[in-house]
Amino acid sequence: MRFLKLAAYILAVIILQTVIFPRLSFMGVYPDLILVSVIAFAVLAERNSATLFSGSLAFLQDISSAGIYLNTIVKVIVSNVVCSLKEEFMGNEYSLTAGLVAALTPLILITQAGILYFFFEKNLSWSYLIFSMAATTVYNLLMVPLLFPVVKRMVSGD
Amino acid sequence: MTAYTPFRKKRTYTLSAVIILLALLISLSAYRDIFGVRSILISAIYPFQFAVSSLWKGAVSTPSSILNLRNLAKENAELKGKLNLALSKLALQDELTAENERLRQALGFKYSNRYGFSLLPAQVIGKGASPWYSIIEINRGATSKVQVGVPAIVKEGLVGKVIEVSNFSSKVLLITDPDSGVAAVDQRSRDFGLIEGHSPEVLLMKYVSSAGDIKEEDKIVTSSISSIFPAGIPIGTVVRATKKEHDLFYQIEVKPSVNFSRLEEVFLVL
Repeated sequence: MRFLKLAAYILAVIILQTVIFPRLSFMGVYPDLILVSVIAFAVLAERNSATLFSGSLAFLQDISSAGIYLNTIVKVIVSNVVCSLKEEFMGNEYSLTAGLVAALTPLILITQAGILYFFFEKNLSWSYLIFSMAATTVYNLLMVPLLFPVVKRMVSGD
Repeated sequence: MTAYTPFRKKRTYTLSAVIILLALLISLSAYRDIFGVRSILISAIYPFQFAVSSLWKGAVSTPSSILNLRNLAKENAELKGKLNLALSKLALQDELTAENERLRQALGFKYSNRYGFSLLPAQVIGKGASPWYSIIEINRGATSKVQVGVPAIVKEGLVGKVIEVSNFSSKVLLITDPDSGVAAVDQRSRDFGLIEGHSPEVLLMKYVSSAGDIKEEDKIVTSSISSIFPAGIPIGTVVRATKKEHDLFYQIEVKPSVNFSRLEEVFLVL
């Protein structure tokens, strides 16, 4: 049952990310539901489940896009980093999720941009990247109150 | 319990390492399709994307359709008039095209079927999930005889080209993607250049010689030297063209003629 719930959640996130949110974008920027989900899941679940969840979700993200499987690599790393950080954190899980979304969104975007630019010779518009880093971070933070309770319910098995 | 924890940690890191290593190997290899698995997964997701996309379009268009019901009869009459006019012009254009080809042959030009393509309508069902590629997904695939490299257009102008085809859907790389390159020409001065993506609302026209003549408001269209895109398709309008004294090339910004955030249907040029 939990597996089915997780599969349904992954499918719903991919559909929202590819079909609905692009139609609500602002100057081509829209939230990265997958990153928010990966961080929330890693904060709430144990490491093994979080790794599998982030790997599956990011793999589908790469399938729905083009090029290399960069999201799969980055999001599995993010999931492990978050799992390690939460062991040292003393506050509540919601604050940790929001804080990590705010801190990691621009960091991940700039890291991915660097990898694509230096290793895969992808042309990038750096001015647009800076704008999209700021806009995506704001969007992602707005998604935390919506996604966190859903992920929490899924992880707790309610 | 204390002996159990390190073992669990080791296993977890192994799982992460395996996933990362596999993703890296696939990315760097020529098997990014993972022996057809990618295509199967895209085909599996497609029905959900198509259903949600259709529901969304219905939900968005229904209220405005109801509000516009009174204007529909009037609009219908106007459209019929315009259609008749367009059909008359089309008949005339067919005649001119045939005459043009006859004259080209008479002048010894090699016969070229420049206008012999057909258009396949396709619905936009989604967008690429990764922010690094400007991609749209359309509801036509290998079953509709779509192939990689096929250009996509709308009535306003050029949209992009197909880069990946699965059974029922395809991915189109938009011309706004920085990796996209389109041979282009200034419609007025006939100066050649290369259009590259910059952001969703700005294209860059590169490699136009500073000896050329590019002005703001000039229309940019696809060039006849392109082996992918038919010639003469509108790309955009020059919004800024500057050249410094010792520069070899112009610095040109072009506003795309297509509003990419509002794309719902495209035509594939087959």
